[in-house]
Amino acid sequence: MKEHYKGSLIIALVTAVGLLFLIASPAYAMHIAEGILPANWAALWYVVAFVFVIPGTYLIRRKTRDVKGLMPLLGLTGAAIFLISVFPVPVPVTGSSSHPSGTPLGAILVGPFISTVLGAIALLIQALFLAHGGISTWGANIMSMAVVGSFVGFGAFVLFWRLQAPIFVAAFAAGLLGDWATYATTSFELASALHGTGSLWGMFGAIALAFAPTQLPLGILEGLFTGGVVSIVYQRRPELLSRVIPYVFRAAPAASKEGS
Amino acid sequence: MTHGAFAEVFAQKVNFATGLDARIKIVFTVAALAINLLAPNISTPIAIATFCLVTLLAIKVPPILILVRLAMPLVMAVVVLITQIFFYGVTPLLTISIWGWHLVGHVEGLAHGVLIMCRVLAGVSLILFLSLSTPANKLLLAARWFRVPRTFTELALLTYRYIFVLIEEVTSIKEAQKVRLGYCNWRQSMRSLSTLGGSLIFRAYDRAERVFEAMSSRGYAGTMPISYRTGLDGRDRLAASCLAVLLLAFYLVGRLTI
Repeated sequence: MKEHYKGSLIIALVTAVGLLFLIASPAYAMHIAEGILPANWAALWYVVAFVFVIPGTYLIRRKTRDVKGLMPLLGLTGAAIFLISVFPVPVPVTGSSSHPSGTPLGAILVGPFISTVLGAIALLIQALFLAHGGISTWGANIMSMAVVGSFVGFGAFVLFWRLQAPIFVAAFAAGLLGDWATYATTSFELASALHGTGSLWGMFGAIALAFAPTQLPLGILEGLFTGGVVSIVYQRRPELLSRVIPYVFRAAPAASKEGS
Repeated sequence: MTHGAFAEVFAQKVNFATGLDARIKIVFTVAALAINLLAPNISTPIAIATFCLVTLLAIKVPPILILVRLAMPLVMAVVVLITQIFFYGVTPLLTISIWGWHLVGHVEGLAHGVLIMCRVLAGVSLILFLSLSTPANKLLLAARWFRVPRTFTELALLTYRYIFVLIEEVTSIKEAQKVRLGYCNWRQSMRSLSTLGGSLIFRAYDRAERVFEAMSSRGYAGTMPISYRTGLDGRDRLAASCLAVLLLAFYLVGRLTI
């Protein structure tokens, strides 16, 4: 058994080195490509993802019924999040660039359920028009990026903010943990579908380690980026944050002036 | 930035693929994706990929664009292939010795990994066939015809539309930052990108108010009229029949070559 895990480590390292050479520039490594997941797993992730997307869609419908101008606002926010998710963030040392997932930032701005729907739309556009992700893997990608990225990012932000952390630190934690949780979920989705006769956790470790050289630094970059953007929004237009996540600001009203 | 990357220009051209009703193309693509995923061997994915790639070349999509689109999914497929060789199956194929450890690759793993790679090639080719021959608005209107919730299709339409509006803003802000040496080193680049992200959000919110006023003046009352009532003409019915036969051929080619 021990030999098996040593073998997994070597496979992961060889694959990781290969990835570093193969992915020279913009990396969308954690989008599961069309055709990779078998039909039964693709269907399962659709069901799980839509458990979150459907309440998000109903929430948007209810809110847009009350506030007529909300739909264009959400459309523009979705477009902004989409563009942020394709920003080329420079990766130090390798000299290449990568991309933030953008959903932790989206969740801080509009809340996790609406961010899930905006993330699902962004993933659909990426799958159809940029060939990043896929249609059959849309459910799995929604789950890892839109759902887990939004909820973990939002949860981390709320937690750190309530612990009186500065706004940059809270948003950094949201970006970092949201990104790493996305990466872990994608690795699990791939491993659970593809481990075949081998060990699930051996496969999970191999995939996670294979993507670690690109995804671990990317998580830190996403944290820095999210921290930077949220700090700027908080300093210049704090009402944009208080309007969309009143829960956080209700919980710690005194901290809002110290946070910046 | 991503403006050219969308390449919707090909979907706006007039040819046999773009002229086909979007609903027929969606049904064909979804059915072919299902057949591709259920394929027992590489014959079906290869047949699907060949059909899609030949069609794309026939409607004059540049081969370099197709290769760029295929590159990243195939990188992921290579990673999957490597892990499959060493994790899947029992019949030894090769042994690699590294630092005293022996890695055993398996015949079944290689076969399964190659099948997955072919499925990726076919699946991405199908998506390229759909997206490079159908404008986004027609796809989303067709989605509404298939009873996708109005809120979702409306939001997707607005998001897609505003991506192009905001790209202009991003480009102008980024050019101004570059002129002021905003990307001269990594630290400065991160600072500039954060400012760019913040500015993008401000512009999105500010523009939303103006857009709402403009839409209200044109009669917008909270929802957009999205409908797709056009019936299929004779040409569309003929094309749909041909594509149905093709789907059957894709299915059978895999089953008959087991």
